[in-house]
Amino acid sequence: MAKKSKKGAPTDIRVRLIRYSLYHPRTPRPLRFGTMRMLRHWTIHRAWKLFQAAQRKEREHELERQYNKMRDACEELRLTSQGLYERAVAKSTFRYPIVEFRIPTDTPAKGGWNHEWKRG
Amino acid sequence: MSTRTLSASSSTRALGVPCFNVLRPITLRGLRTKGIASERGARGVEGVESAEGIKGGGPRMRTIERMPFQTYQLALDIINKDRQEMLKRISEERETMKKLIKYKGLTHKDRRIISMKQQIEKWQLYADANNPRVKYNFDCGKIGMNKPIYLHLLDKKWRQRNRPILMQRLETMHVIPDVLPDINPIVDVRVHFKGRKVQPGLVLDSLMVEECPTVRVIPFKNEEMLCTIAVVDPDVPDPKKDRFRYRCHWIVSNIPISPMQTTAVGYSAKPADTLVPYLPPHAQKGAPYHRYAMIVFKQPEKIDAAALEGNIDRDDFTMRGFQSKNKLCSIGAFMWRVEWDSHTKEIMQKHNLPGWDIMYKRSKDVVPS
Repeated sequence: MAKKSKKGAPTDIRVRLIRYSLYHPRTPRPLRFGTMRMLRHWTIHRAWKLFQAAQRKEREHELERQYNKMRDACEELRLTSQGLYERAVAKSTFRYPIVEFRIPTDTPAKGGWNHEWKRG
Repeated sequence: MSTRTLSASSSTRALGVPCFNVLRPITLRGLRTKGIASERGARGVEGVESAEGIKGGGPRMRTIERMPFQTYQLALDIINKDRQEMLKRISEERETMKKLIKYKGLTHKDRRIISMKQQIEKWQLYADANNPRVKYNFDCGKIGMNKPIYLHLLDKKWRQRNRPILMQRLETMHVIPDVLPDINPIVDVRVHFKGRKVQPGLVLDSLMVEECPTVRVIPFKNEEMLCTIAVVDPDVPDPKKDRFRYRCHWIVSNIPISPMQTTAVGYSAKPADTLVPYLPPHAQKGAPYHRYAMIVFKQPEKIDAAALEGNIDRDDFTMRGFQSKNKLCSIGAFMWRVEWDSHTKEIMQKHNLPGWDIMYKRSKDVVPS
């Protein structure tokens, strides 16, 4: 009888790597918290999320203010001098050489290069 | 839970902190335990609180707010600050609403006022959602049904596990296309037969379902409504026409339901009108198991029980017809199954139900002689 050597499709290398590190004998075991410890963990997590959300909001407000100022400035320029406005708003033609090149890597994308891709 | 009964003084002694006056006066106002009227009948909550108050000697030690961990206390500060901002926003919105009603003549039915009210409710939830004491209470089971945050947490918990299970059972057993075309459960329906809790879709013994169950309907919005419960059996065999009929087993109307009053039928329920008295589920021998669907409807207004009581025919009953005639809106469902077992014969004889001596056989299995 011929031995069946096929084991089915091989698992994804990323899943294999995760399993390797998760179940390695030198990985520390999962922590188990008591009620109060868990409660403190939860509270600190919620507070941190609140803090991060407030920071994010502040950053976005700042960006919005900057954008509004830039837009108002451009409007002023447009009303002042058409030529200067067009030069300010025109797209720059300077490019560093071929930014879209992909560097060699251990885990390239499965799909490879998309030949339908267009710059722009 | 041991943490609940742990007295204040012993806990702080264990932590090495002197067990008298408070080091950090953190007060999270608005979420008082005195407002809690727990559904689970106190469970000694009041007893624990008063005991702690007497033992401490000074102000009551609230262990959760006073845990001596630096990051935790800083987190509590942030949460408190956010809560104050939220409360300020709520009061400002309330002021704007009052001014709009007073000066611009808007009424409570206006879209703008309604959306402002909804936003205020959302902010009230956000204000309490990060409170560790709320989380602790909810996890322990100390749920104050008059507080919107606990209703919100209950809703979330129900929707995470028990509601998908119910929907799966309803759809797999094809109760949903058969009894009603579709349903969107908004309330948690819990059924207890003879004191024992029943999971949706279970096959139950005839003895257990002989008497009418205790039904709990838990709404997640703080409003009073009138409900109707109807139980229908869609699998009554009709050998003459070679198909299955519907049979109505039980209808109870005008049940007042609110988050504080969740028992619809049972010991602590308010009086309601029984339009169709409870008929014990019985499945005849040879027939496959019968499914029994219980649908909870919301009534727009009080139903005139006297007019409907005599007019409902048990055997010529469809849920869809009943729903459209009385303009009901389905908000909850439940189902169980019953088949012929050792007790069905006695029960059918006891209640004078015809057919206890009939055994059904599939016409395919009957070989024509």
